[in-house]
Amino acid sequence: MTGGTLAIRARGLSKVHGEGQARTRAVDEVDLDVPAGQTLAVTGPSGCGKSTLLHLLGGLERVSAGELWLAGRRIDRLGERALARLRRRAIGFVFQDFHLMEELSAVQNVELPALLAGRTPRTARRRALDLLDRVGLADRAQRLPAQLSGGQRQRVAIARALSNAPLAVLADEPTGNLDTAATNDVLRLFDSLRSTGQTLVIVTHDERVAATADRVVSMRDGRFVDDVHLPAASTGGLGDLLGLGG
Amino acid sequence: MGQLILACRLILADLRHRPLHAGVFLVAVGAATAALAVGMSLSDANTGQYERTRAATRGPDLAVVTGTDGSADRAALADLARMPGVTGHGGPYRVLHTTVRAGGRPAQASVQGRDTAPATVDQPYVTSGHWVRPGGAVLERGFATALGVRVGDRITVAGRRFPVVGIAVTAATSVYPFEGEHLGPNDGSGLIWLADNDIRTMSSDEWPPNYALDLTLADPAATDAFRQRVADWSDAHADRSVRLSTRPWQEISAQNDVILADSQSTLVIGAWLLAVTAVAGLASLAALRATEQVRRAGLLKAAGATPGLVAAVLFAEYLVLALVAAGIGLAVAWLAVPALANPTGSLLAATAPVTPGTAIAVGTLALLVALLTTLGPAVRVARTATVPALAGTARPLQHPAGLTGLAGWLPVPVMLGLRLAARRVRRAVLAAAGLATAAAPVAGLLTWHFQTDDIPWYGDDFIMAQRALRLGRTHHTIVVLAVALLVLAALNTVVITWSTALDARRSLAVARAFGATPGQVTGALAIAQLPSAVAGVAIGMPVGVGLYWLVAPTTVTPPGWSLLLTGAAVVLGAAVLATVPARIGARRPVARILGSNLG
Repeated sequence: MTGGTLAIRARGLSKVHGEGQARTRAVDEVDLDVPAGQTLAVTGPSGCGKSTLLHLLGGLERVSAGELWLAGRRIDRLGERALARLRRRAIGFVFQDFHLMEELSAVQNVELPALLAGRTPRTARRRALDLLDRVGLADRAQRLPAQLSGGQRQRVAIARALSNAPLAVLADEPTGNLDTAATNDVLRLFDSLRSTGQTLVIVTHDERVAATADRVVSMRDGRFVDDVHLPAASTGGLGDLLGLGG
Repeated sequence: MGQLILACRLILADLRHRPLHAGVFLVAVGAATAALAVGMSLSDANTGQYERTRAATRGPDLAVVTGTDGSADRAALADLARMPGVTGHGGPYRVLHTTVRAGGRPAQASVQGRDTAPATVDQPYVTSGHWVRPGGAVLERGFATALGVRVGDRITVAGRRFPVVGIAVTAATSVYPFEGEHLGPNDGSGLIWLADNDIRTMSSDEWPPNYALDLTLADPAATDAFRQRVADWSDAHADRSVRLSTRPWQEISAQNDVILADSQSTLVIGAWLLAVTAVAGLASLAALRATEQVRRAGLLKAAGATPGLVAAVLFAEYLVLALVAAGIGLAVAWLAVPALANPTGSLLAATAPVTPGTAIAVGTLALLVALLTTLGPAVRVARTATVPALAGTARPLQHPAGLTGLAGWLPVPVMLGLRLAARRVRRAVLAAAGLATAAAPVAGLLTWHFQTDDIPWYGDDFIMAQRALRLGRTHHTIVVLAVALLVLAALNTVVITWSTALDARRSLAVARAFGATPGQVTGALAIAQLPSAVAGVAIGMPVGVGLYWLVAPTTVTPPGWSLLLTGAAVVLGAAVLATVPARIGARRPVARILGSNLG
């Protein structure tokens, strides 16, 4: 069985940390279908396993048990090298701490995944500049991360995540380190990504961020305890309420 | 292509943003490669300088000196010059062995009488002033340098004053102080040329001259065969009481190498010691960046880089630095060797071409350091899972239960210090290795000191002079190496203490939160360096004596008490040096450390 038109499909997905008495199930037999183009928000208290779930979906961590498909391709048995190649082309990560390379300029950070994927330097640069323009940082392309504000850094990180036009963008607390204005900037970006049909999985504590999603899954102790599909009118309304319409 | 550009960009960006790290690498590895390149090039350079001097002076293939005096000798030399296989000759020249005085200093010298016109064989090359004229002396350059004599000064030869009209070099004798022509090279003798008429007036029946003849041969490479013919011819004329001493050009050239022989071995050994120190220091420096490197690797892996690519980028950076360091070493050798290979100035300077063997050895040394320095981090990066890497999780600390339990009975600084030392065994081993390589040349210097104090008598002035000169050159070489190694070891001690302080900042902050004073923490950090310092000295001192013995098998071993005292001084020095970064580390605000998420 494969995922069909699903971007992500998981069955019995589990992740176990530690051994013996220290053994904990960070993710406990989770089933999940994420259709292409859906924006999924994963919420829950600290330590409930939502970040681990995101890492499993993006191939950053190996699953302990269960099956995982990405665009119909089973990936839970892939080795480290194959997962790395998969991440290059199919996944874009956005982290809470941005994780930009401090010694590279904004545009160099953005084109990094494209170069890793074997794009020509010219193509990678053109794409990076387009993306920086899209996130409103065309005039900051040559700045080092240290010369950017937190919100600007996160926008660079989002542009980097889009570098290879990934199947899915996985964001781990993308607004966790941002003030309100920067958070709104990031949410506007996610909103525009959603409108272009980009699959998004966002792990967040922030209810405002969750409210912009098509669907919200709540986790507790490694399991899903709630799965709510928000009507389009609802998200749009909240978006308007937050001033995300533009 | 894209990955290659990315790798280059990452390397360049890292080098640009962390120039200190790159600078320390280049200094440490450059010192090692330079020592190796110089050591391996000295002999070639010396030979090259002799060949240049020989060409510039139309040097002889065979230098002949009479052992007795009188007309029989002169006639014999004239016969020799007509032997088959001889293509040219200079002389015979009168030679007196006497004492000269310059600036009140006495010195032994061979004084050779020459025509004012240039000779066809062995015409000394005048480097300043001009060639001999009646009443004027020309000094061999090494001899003049040793006496501090310049053109225009005056010297006294056998009671007569002569102005120095020129300074020159020759290939007909060995370098100063082996230039005497009285029955071959004598100890501590220089060479002076006077107009033949001046010598003639000095010599008398009571003080007859010897004679020197310089020959060129049809086959300059076959001097041994010709030498044998001369010996046979000399035996056949035993009735004429002729005694001839012959020296082929190959022997003269080899004699020049003798002075530098120990220095060459010492430099090559020193290069490897420097390489070990460099590995220890650079690995410790890398530990300071471990968290950052792991996080960087995690980021690259999250963006799709394979572990192999991440490791390759890390190694490529060190590869580039290693190649630059190798280039620096070879450049230093190219610049310094002409002077180092000509310590007395008796030869014309010549640059030493870098031989493929030297380039390969130097490159191998630099790459070996790069590989050993990168291997640990590269393997760690490849093995660290992406998520912990993104969190910047450093290697887990070690907690040897036995030592931790035992340390609980000790005073607070010792207890904390021993626990700190036990947390990072690999770092302690590196620190010990670094200090061992610094202790080795210190032990070498100590050994040298006891050689000069207790030099055995061989009953031969020439051998004694040679030994003294070789010891002098060896001493200079060991001093230079010891200074370089001690500086690097001091840097290592500071870096290792600082990385210990960073590693342990949370646990030490907790200790301080519960009442440990900054003084106790400082003491703990300094004491943490002592086990590796003691181990390093305990290994390095005997190794140093052993290496000296390898270079000079007639070595007198220094007494045990002197080795113990010197070793204790090195350990004490390391402890004192460690207190500097320890004090800084111990005074960081506790609240800020415990409040940060860096631990």
